[in-house]
Amino acid sequence: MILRRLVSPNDLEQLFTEFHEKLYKYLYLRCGRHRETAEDMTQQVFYKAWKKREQYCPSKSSVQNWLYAIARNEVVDYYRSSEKKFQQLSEPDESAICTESNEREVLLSQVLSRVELLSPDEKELIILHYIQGLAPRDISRILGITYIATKVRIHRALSKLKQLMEVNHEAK
Amino acid sequence: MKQNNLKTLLRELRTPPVSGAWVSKTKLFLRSKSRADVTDLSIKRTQRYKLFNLLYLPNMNGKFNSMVSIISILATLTVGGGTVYASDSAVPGDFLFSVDKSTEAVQRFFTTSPLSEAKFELKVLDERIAELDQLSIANDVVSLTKAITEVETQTGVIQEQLKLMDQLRIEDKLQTQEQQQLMEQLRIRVQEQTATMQQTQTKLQSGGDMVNSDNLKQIQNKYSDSIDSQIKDFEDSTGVKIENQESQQNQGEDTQIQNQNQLQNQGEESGGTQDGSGSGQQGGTTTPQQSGKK
Repeated sequence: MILRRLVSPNDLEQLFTEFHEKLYKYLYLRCGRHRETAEDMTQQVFYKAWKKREQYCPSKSSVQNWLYAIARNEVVDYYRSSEKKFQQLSEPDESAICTESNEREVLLSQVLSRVELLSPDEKELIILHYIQGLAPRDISRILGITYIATKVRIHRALSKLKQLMEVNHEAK
Repeated sequence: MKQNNLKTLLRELRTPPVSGAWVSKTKLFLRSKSRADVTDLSIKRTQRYKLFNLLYLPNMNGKFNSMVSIISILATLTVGGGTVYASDSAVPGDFLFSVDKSTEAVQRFFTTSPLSEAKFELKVLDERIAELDQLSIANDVVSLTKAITEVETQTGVIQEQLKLMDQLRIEDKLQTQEQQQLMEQLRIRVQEQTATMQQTQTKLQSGGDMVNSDNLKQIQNKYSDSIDSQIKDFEDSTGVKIENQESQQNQGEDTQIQNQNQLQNQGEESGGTQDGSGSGQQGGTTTPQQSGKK
């Protein structure tokens, strides 16, 4: 059952159990694929959600969208405030993703590296829609843009990613 | 590469799973942080905030939003209460009659015992008969037919309720005295109800609606016979005699009157002797004085 309120410490624990994996994955992909950073940021997202619990309005957005909005702001703050740190962490933790033992995994690794080449906005849309599986309607609410604009941008981001993959393929 | 293939690859992308140790550590962290700054009071305050912000009104501050919510709740209750009150006087065929029936269903739900339920059903039948009587003047054939059906249904409900009470008494779930109390009331109420139905029949006949009048007569006879039969069954099975309270009252009144008469007679007799002796004494004293004066 999806929780629709955040009032007691038990509610927070329930929220964490329900959403920590999704948010961790989102933050991991958004923050240079660094495991420890993603873990710290995930913890911060839930702590901030608790501190801002009185601002949450169930009729305005779902808990999931609200948490993603907090996570998104966390990413923005992180890149804005710690540029040096970002530079250090920009080297992805490749070993943590997969072992390139077969062709499929090599391909997956290439896709991931091409996603990194997209602009932050495009990357975010690809992560939210295709990797996290969020519906365009939810994404439009998280990003604060219209539904049509979201669909158009997702389509453009995918086309760009496809081009990047083809360039890579031709180069080989 | 086709777009669909790319989409599939994106869905397959994996990230390293979160470690169990991190999950436990973070849960502890969040638990300690959340419990440190929360008290029962703040939970109640937050819940109250949620309660009075039922309507989400963007671009509006919290206090104003709460005020609007409270006003909306009060307005809804006032309008709703007014509708229910107005529905009480609705008759079959009226728009509010269904609201009246729903209100009765709610009241029925809150009856606590078979006895109170039976009393409630009798009250409902009174209402249905009164509605029918009201409609008999209007001469609205469709509504009249509906009203007669409502009366018939309600008489059936009462009969079923009495059967249920019999069953409960047999199973020792209802005391005989309780049922006896109801039966005594029932006998009087049925007389009143049949009297009202007879009046309605007369009105229908004078209006020329012989069909509905006959129907009502049949329902009345069936109801009256059925109740008599159920009362008789009760008397036979329990050995308790159901007296007509009206006749009991009449008998009581008669006895009181007789007693009063007796007392008066006795008083007059005894008072007469006193008065007689007094007057005799007075007469005895006065007469001579009078006679002496004379």
